[in-house]
Amino acid sequence: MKSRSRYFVLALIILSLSACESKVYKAERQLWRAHKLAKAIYQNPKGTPPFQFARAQDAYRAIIKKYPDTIFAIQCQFSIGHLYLVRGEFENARAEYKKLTVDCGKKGSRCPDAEFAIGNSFELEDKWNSALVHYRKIMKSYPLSSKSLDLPIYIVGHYARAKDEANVKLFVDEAIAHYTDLKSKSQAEQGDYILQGLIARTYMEAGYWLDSIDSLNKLIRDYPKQNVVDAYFLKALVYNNKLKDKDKAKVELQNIVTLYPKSKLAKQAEGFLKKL
Amino acid sequence: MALLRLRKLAGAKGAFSIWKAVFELIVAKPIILVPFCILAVFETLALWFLSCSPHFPINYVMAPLIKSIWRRIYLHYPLIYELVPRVFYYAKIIIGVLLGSVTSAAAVLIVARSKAKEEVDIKKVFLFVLKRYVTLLLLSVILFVSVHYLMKQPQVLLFKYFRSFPKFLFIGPKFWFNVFLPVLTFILAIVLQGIFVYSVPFVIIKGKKLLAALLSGFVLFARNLIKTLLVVLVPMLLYIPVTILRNNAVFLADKFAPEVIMAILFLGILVGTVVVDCLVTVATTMIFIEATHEK
Repeated sequence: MKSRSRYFVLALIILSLSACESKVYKAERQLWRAHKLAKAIYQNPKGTPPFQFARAQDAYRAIIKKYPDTIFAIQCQFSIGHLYLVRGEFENARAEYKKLTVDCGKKGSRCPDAEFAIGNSFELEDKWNSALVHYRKIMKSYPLSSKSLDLPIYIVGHYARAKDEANVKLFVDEAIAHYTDLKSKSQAEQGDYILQGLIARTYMEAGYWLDSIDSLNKLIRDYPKQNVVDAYFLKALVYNNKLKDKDKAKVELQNIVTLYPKSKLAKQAEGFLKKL
Repeated sequence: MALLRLRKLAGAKGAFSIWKAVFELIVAKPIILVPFCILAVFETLALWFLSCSPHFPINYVMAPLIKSIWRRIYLHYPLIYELVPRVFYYAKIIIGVLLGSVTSAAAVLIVARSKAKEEVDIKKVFLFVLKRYVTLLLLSVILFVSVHYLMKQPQVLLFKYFRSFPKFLFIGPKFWFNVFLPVLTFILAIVLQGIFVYSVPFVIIKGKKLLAALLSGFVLFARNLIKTLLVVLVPMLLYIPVTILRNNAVFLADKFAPEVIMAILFLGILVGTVVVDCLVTVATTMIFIEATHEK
């Protein structure tokens, strides 16, 4: 009887220990519930009653209070800003995003993303010039952040969609100069390769197809040790879809199949060749 | 010809009248439920263990496994609840093979002894069954492998058929995969369960060896085809609401909370293991006793 009760107690201890949820897990659960409240607002931002909006906000603020200085607090701060953004309350959104720009030097801070969100709020408010100021600030203050590296292409894309040829040319030149400047300061081949790839993407975003082919050729020529299969594939796509030159597209695809038969793109290239 | 039809009808009628005897026996001897409850407890513990994979101290065992086989993301909320049903399916198979064989056999023996108006001591029943554990284990392995392999064939054949004859998709693939395939799989499950259901009574009650029990089980199934299929079908119909809930688990998890998935799986244990398995085992054992004139 005593041994039975001992086993029972042991089983209870094990079961109770198995319910030892970590702080991270509890935060994830709370965040999921907060996102669920926010989902209703995203689906119908103008039609959501104020109390529902307040509930979602309170849910996020509770997480920020309970788990400060964690990735969850940062996510929640962004989410509060997004809630204001979808309701068209741009000033309030920017005020929330600004809270994330404090302590930018701290490890794990998301200042470039916060500044981008501020710039994006201006863009959504149809104040492109104010947005551009913020985007340029990101490129200057955080030049090597992923947001900053994508921004020149994003800006070029904006003018390309607006069919503003003059500004497209202006900002393509600015983007190329920015990437070239970063290349000159880079000390690693990997960094140079990435920046060359971004130059090619800038030309593609602007619709300068011949320039994009030239920059992809430079990528393949100057960085043969890096993963250049993608560059061949992009060239094939540009030749086929944009320049309507099937013969040259076939050459690029054949290069992939011949030079990189074991790469992930080789099968796709073979399939594409059959279609052409 | 008419006599043959009548006999078959009589067989079918017996399949419905047997339920009265089954419920009377369970009410008179609730000890029959004990083996199924034991199995259900182990399945519930396995479910609990899996749901605690991200937590101390279970994460010491489960975290490396989950990271290597699936991805680290499944150790986080709410994706853990997406992984649990998948892993629980395999856990159920392992528990079913290792322990389910014993509990089914114990239930069969309890029914046989109850019908013979003998004393039923649960300890002695399990000791008796454990003496035939190897045979029962092999029987379970054969059953699970056959069922697992055969249950996948309708889907494989359907895919192969439509790849070769796409014209026959004119009804629409939604009908074939959302209606036809589940119905066919359900019917196949009933038939497969019917085929193997008498093997355990032959091992435990008649003391037959593995192959002889399997063959005798097939023969008995063929002789009581309609009765057996009906007796297996009726309890399995109780599992349909659970299946519907499981198919809509993602929707329900999103609507309410991911923990709903655990509730659905637990309901599956209660309905499947305690109710359906108990009813099928008791009913088929009673048919077995009647057919082999055991009293």
